[in-house]
Amino acid sequence: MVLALVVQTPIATAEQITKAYHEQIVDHLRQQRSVLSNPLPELHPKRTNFNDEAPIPPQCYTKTVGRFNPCYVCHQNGQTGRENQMHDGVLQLDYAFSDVGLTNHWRNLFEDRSAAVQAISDREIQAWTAQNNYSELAPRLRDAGFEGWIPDLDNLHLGAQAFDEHGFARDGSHWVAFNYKPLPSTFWPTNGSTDDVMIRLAAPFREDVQGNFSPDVYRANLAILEARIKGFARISSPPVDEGQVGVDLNGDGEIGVVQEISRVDRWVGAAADWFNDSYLYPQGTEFLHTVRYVGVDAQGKITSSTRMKEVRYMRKWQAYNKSVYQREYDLENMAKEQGQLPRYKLLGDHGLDNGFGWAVQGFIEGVDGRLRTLTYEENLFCMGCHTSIGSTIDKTFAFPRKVDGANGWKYIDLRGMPDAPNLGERKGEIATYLERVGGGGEFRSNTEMQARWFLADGNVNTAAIDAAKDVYTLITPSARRALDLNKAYRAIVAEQDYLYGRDARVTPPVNVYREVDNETSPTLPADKFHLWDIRLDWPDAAR
Amino acid sequence: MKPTAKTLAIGTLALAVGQAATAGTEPYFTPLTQSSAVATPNHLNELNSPWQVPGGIAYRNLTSMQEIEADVTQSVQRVRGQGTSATMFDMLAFDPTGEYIFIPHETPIGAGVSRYSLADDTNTLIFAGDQQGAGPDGIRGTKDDLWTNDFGAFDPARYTPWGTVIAAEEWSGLGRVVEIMNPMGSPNDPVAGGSELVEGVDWRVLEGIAAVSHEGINFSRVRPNQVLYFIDEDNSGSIYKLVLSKRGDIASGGQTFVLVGDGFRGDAVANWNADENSDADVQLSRFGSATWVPITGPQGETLDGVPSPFGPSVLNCGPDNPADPCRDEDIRPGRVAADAVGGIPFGRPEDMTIGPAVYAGREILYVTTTSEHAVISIETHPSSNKATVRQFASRATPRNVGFEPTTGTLSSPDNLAIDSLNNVYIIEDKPNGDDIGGDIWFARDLNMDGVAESLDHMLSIQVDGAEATGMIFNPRQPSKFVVAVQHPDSVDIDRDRDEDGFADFACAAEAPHTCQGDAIWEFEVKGGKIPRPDLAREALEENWTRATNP
Repeated sequence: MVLALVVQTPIATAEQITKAYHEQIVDHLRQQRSVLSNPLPELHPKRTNFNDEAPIPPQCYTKTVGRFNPCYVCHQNGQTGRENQMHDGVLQLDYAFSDVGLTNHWRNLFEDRSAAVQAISDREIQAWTAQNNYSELAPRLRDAGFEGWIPDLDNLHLGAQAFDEHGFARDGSHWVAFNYKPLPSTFWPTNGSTDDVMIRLAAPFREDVQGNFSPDVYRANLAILEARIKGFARISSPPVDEGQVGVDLNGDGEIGVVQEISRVDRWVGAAADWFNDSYLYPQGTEFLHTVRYVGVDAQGKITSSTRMKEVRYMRKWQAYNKSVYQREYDLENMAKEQGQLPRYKLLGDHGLDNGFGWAVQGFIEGVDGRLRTLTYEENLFCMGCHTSIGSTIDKTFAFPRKVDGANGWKYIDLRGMPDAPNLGERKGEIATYLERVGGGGEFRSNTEMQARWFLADGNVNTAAIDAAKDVYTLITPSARRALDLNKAYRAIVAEQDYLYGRDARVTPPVNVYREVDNETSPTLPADKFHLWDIRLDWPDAAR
Repeated sequence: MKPTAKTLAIGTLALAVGQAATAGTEPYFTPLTQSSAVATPNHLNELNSPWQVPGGIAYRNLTSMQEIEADVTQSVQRVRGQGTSATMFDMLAFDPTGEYIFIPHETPIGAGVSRYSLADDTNTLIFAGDQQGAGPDGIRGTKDDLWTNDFGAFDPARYTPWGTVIAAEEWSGLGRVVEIMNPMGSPNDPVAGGSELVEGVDWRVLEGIAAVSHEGINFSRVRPNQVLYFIDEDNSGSIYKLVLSKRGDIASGGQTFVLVGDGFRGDAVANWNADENSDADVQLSRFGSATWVPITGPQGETLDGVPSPFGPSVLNCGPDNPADPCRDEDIRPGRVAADAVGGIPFGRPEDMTIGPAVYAGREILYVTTTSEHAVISIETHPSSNKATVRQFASRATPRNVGFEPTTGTLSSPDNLAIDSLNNVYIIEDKPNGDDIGGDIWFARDLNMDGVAESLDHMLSIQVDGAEATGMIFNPRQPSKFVVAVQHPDSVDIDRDRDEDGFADFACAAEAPHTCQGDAIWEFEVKGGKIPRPDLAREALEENWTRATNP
């Protein structure tokens, strides 16, 4: 902890001058109402951190007790041809924290919010989550002179209504929604949040060779990208008029309207000459990810809330080839070996650069529920998962998990979505996860999931899982649980202490370490190691 | 994975030493008492005052990417799409007149060399790879890595005794050394395989130098026409010596040796800190008496039982086996050959500098061992097969002895420099992304035992995302030295990107003054405290006499 004297203001109180920077920041966030959060601008933000290992998420402190392995979802060995050379599969079996990381800094995990939850009525939390805190964000940012990305997708708070039947934003912003299977298990609604992800390619990928917007060019390039990210040789697509694109995309020797594309090694339209390689997004690719409360409609069904917990944004502002990625991993290895803590280049209002060309920024609810910019440390929290774990494809999760092809271009919808297995496996991903983890989340503390999908002896209730008709059934909570988790998160919003953790929990989980010892904390035996592919083997009916 | 860094107390042990030939002086400055705090990214200080310096040392900016690219008459290497790795000024070299600085570009592909003229304040790109990189698959360490007219990661540049310049590949490319035959030329097309430069005439790959991850590479100061020392930057990295078969003819190669510890009891193949090498006594056994063991014959011939140290790299794992947790990094043949004869494994040896011989024709090689946060010294004679290895400096070395203490610590020592008085300077690979600045240390070795008595905190850099590198003294103006600032955040200036519709994050249009990019700074020690070499020689000999006749 850094105890530092505050000298920037002559009217600092005695209490203030003894507070650590991060505590001053939390104090500031509890009081300020600005859309910008830059509490100590004269200091290099790295000096204000509470947790220099914020890139290590809370889930990494799970007690695996020699049996349960939730780690495989993130930590994987490399695969041939992939850009990801992290090769951190060994972390499934062992702890390898830095000295700073040995302490679990996510102290909000250990806070009992039962009283806070009780103090909020169902009606209050329903009213809270139904509010639109998104639409005012862009004008507020513009008024404040913010220089980073400003949300430019109208009506996103309405979810699916903002997009047409192929996932294209109705506002002409060229954002495209896609339907994907949430990553186990933090992003399962039963664990406290819903979300959606949209993609947008750089302008040349949307334009014909004359530089005019072309829906056919855009659809073709999106399909090509999906095939490249997934390593597929061909992919289905919404209808593309080859005549508009000027390329025989399906290789049948004819020019017509096609719904499958097999020429995936080159882009089309104005981006035809841009660098194209497997498992890499092209320069200028953007992702927009909103994290929301768990909505509960009038019938008690689970939906996405109107209110957003967070608006997250990534842009590939630099495009590197795989050899540069390899070097970045080399440097990461060297830095870790020397005991250096994770560090990322600060791009001002554009967030943090993960070293692989992605700029990562975001917005989160302020004390009044209005969205504000992330602080440096809040942004740092994003970086571990989007930089240095072995399972991702070009640092992304959702897009490689998109429902394959044409049917996957629409706003996320868990209803009717099958529990597709991961590529190379047979059993459904969720069913597999429950077996390997021994619970409905990393901490094995989701009692509702336990009751629904596990037998009294702790084994997975395969009959119940087989009978579940879709992903919605498997991973959405009851209305009661949803409301309680929403209330718990609302309490964190009021505290503004996201730097201590932002997991929606009413009571502290049991299976989590406050401190880890790399040498003595129980680890997993080798037979609990799982090779795992983030991609999914979607059945034909889903494609 | 178990943590690999081991805390070792080797630096605290007084190693048994013989009479070493190193010399040095008291610091000629009042040391700093703390490292610089890193300024916010693209802070105005990056342009004006990025260094914290003691009194009596002045500095100025010589050149920068901003300056070079603003002038159509100048040229430099910038590899598009490589972000802060696009230009990568690294280990600089002076020509003997002190008028020109050669800048290697440590870019992943398209590595090249520029020449900066102090008199004209202009920069000229004199050689560059064709940016075709690592073959069609774009992946380093696969079978299609031909690198026919391309080079990767030129880390060192060195001016040769015969007036050419060599540059060598470190972490990219194939671990080759390239010789630029006319470093004073100004080709209109400096690209290898282009319209102007002819391989074998204007440039050549020195096939007789072992392929390793090159960084430190120096000609002997005793026999510069015959002996070349170099390093393999790896966590099982070794120290090499090439004795040319014909003096002054580096293209013909010669016999290559690797430094083998006479008492080393660890595993030469494993990393310096691997389990089998991590015990303190095993670590210590790397020091003391050592032998230069040949890995080739006198003409570079392959020896029985030793793989050839030349040629393309090999993979260290089966790339088609996803269950294989090894990395697809390329292994340099020179490393494999060193392992075969038991070359001492050091923790990522990086730069090297050589002290002058002041007695019996011996010379001292100083080598940073970056992963060990240390510097070793190797006392040897170029024609002898024996050497003595010592821990020259480490985190255990006292700091600012006799002065106010400093809170700075030796961290990731990367580069080395030496002045005319034989003082060694240690340059850290920092701050990069840290918020504590990178430091330059003056290593004090007054008693000439090859072990520094004090590390005196000399300079500190505050440029966010950068590292200092390439520190070298001007051979004609010994009170002056230059240091490069490599890969600062602001190097991401790419004026073309704006035409593509991309915002330029690091260099906002409204703040162009912060867009300096890679740069070279010149420092001057005022008051004649570092004399000309001829006068320094007298001072050295006086020191030597005093030290040997107390």
